[in-house]
Amino acid sequence: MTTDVVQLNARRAEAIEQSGWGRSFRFVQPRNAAFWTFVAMVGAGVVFWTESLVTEAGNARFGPAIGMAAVLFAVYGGLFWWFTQRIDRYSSIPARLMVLAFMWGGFAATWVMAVHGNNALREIYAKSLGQDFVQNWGPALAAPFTEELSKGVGLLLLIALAPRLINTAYDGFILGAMLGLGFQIVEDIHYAINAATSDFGAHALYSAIKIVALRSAVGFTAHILYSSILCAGLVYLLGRPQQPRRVGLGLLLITIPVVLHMIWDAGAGFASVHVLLTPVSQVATFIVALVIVVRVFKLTVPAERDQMRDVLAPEVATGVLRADELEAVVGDRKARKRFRKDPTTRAERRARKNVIEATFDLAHAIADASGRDTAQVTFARAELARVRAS
Amino acid sequence: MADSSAAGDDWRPDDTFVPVDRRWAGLDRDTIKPSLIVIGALLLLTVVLPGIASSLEFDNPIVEGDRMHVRGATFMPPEGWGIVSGLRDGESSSGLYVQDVVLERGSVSVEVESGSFDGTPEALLEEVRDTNDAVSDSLNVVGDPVAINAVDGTVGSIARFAGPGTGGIIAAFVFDDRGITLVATGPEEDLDRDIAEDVAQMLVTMQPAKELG
Repeated sequence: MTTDVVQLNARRAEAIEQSGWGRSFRFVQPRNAAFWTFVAMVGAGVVFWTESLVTEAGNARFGPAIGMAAVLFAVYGGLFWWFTQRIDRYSSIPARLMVLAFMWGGFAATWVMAVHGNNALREIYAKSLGQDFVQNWGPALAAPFTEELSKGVGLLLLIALAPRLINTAYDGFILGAMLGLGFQIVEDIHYAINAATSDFGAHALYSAIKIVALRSAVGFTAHILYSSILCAGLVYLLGRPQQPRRVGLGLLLITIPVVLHMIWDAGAGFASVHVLLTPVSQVATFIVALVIVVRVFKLTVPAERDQMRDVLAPEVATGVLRADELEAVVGDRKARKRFRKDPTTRAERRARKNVIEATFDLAHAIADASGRDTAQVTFARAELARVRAS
Repeated sequence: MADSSAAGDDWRPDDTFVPVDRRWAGLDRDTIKPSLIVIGALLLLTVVLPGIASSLEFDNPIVEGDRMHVRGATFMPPEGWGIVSGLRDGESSSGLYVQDVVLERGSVSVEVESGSFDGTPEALLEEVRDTNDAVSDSLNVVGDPVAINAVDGTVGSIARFAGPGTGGIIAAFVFDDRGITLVATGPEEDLDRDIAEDVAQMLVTMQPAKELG
């Protein structure tokens, strides 16, 4: 083995070790205070939510509407879960940790924390600033603070539960999306319940369907987006072994989703100033939010791609992988597309698409094996060769 | 505690292993601070803020001539009732009014709710009996509903309900396609004649309203 390959293997081992890629995650950690905190708060949230759901869904009039909403939101949640798994294609976060993030967002952040804070803040505003003020501005001055705080502290617990697995702002970005997804889904089911029971329950199914459609259409630019940006910011603020601390950037990325959330929730307040301000502000927020989240994605993902490069570089040196294949895998969507579309025939293009997927599989096999040449790694290399030749 | 990997050279401790010099009371010292931060946030949202809210008083009592506006209707509560939520007629800067108004006097609360409804007041009363938490949950309607006339001639439906230590009144009106319900609840001993008269005033002064939205 040449010196170059030896050095590349050393960098690979370092990348795997530092990123935590391939490490397993065990949730039950009796010596971990975060474990007990998590269990207590998520457990309490599940109990509160179940009590509320059983009360409403048990009523024969509302049960079908709520059940339908829950199923539709579960499908919606499944789609976003799939999307998040697709973009977490580098040093992937273990599924168990993603589930924990979802559960914190869905049960602890909502039912144990945010709902009480929201009610209290709105009561404070009502008593000190009047009913008209709280009707117009209460939502914008309560929920953005309590809900983003509730979701953000969930990341602190997750870092304490898996310190070696959450290393970069991108990890925070992905877990933040899961925290937000859990919050969004459970909150949306609650909105569907409110809709079904509104108007004295006379139009339960229709009202619930309407809410499902509305919340699904704008859901991606709400909690999922807010907490993905916020949690990336939190990692920058805290710093991690693989992520140098950047206080200014961290505070900025924490503030942005709170402001977006405030503007989104200020619909009634804007309407009290001018009726057109509400739709204009919400469309603008939708667009700005999308632009920002893409920007944060592009800001945070390079660290992951660099780790991927370090893991796969020895494969290029030994001829298992071609240089252009490596560049496609560590590149952005445009680089992958260029690589896929380069050949002239459809069969070759399909083969290139499979080469990209097989290369990701190889990277994961190498990381899972901590860089050793295991049977799984040998198999992954063989698969790569097979799809390249097909 | 540790990975039980067969190959000894590859063994490494997993996340559950805590070196003895990092333990405090058996717990990993590094995990205590983040947990305390989370618990601090929890206390802020569930104890401190609600405590501040409770320590403040609603200083917004009804004065003579006030009309409360719930979407689709207005009504005139007697002087002295406190507004927990909802707006007076004309008070909304946006011209929009919520579907729910809550008033209180001592331990008695009155919740007035509006929503789309195109049936009779009796049918609306049945809907509320079935779906309202305060009414249907172990509380029983006493006697048959009776008619009540608002000053504009609209006929509503009213019934009493009672439960262990609590009781109240439930009433319903329908204006065009808008149903209005009023549920007054409180401890049985506080539902005296004065309260009954106050609630009766709210009901007989109920009338439809036009607003934006």
